[in-house]
Amino acid sequence: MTSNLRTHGGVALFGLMLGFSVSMIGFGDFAQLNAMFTFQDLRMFLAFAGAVALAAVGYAIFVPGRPARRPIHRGVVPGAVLFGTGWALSGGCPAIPLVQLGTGYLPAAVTLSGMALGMVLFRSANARWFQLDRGSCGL
Amino acid sequence: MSGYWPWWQGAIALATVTVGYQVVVGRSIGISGAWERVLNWREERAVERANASLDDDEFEAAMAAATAAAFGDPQPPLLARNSPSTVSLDEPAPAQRTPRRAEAPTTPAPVASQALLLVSVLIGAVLAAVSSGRFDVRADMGPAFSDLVVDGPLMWPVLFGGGILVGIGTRMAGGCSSGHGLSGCSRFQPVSLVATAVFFGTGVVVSTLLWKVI
Amino acid sequence: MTCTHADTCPIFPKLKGSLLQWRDAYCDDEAAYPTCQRFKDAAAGKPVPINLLPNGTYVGAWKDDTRAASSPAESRPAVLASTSEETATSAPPTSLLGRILAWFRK
Repeated sequence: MTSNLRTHGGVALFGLMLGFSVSMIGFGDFAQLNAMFTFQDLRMFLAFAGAVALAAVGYAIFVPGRPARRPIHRGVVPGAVLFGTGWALSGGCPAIPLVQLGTGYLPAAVTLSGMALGMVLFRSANARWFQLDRGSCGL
Repeated sequence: MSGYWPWWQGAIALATVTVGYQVVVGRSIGISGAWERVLNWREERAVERANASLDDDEFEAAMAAATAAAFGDPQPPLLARNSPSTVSLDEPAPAQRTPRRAEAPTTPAPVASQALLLVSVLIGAVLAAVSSGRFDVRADMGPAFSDLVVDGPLMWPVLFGGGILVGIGTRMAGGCSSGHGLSGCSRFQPVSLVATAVFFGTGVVVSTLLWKVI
Repeated sequence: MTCTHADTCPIFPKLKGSLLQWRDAYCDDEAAYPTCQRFKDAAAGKPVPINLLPNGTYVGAWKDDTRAASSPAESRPAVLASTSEETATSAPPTSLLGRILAWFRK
């Protein structure tokens, strides 16, 4: 089915590009990451900020319509704090341990297992206690 | 600098990925979401099959039947009862009902595609490392990690624990640096701007602590 | 104020004509929309099929065993039986081995 081919093709293409780019920028290298977070080397930070700016222009040109506004629910800030801490410790936003693994750093597999566990745990906790409203029931 | 891309090259690449994915796949890219869905494979597949098994006409007819079952005799809609007779019963009176925004896809990308996304990222990273000579299979995380975080066997629990924090944190916040950071911020989603600022800020604080204190 | 999920809800655009009653009862009612089953399932983090209605019933035959097994007792009537061949599903496997095999088959 063509739309399925388009979906999978697009995902594969941009997934490859994402992995390639994230690695070539240096996000998989702990030294680079720490240098960014401690403001010793702004290169990666500029890459990210520049990407956001460029993407904003790209969206305005190529993607019609505005997305629905998602709510800033009570999990956003604590979640971001946990994520930022984990990132600084293990180097990994959910794509980065994949990139680390791809570069040959085998211990990233441990990071990934921790991540999977964390996600599964949070899923149960959310279903039972928090019920955070993420703003959508279809997507 | 160690052979990594200059900032502008990275910016162009990441922006291309972000917008390109949206244009071709029709949805915004999100790695933590991909992980979450892949980890929930069975339930996602069940819902996918349910969605695929209904065709539009069948669905419309079934909805009409379900409505009759739920509400009894079809009544004119509440607001339309009080509105002038010139208002069509098929469309809601615009002033009283919130209009729907621009079109959005109504189903998430197939979960198989999300697994494909994760695999592609891995392969992309391998290609990058091999082509730039950085590929080196090793059982540690590099000298910077050893200096700044921990050395020796403590590495394993720190990585695992860090991973848990990332897993919980990204799902609690509803996205990560690709979902909130790249897609959300460039579309000026308030929740993404807040989330990105907080996780970057926290990263800065913790990294600085690691650097200066520990 | 309309339900905050309305913009991305797949059934919302279908709620016209006599189906506006759903909007009266749920979507457009600020106090009622959090009771919509779709909204509740989404908040619990579950993927929500297109055919789940706000009152918890499913449109068309529900074809999956795993969800049926975990749904509440006053469960999901098939409001309109689908005539496709996919309607016939086997009973949920109950032995552990059976469940493992079924998991791989999916």
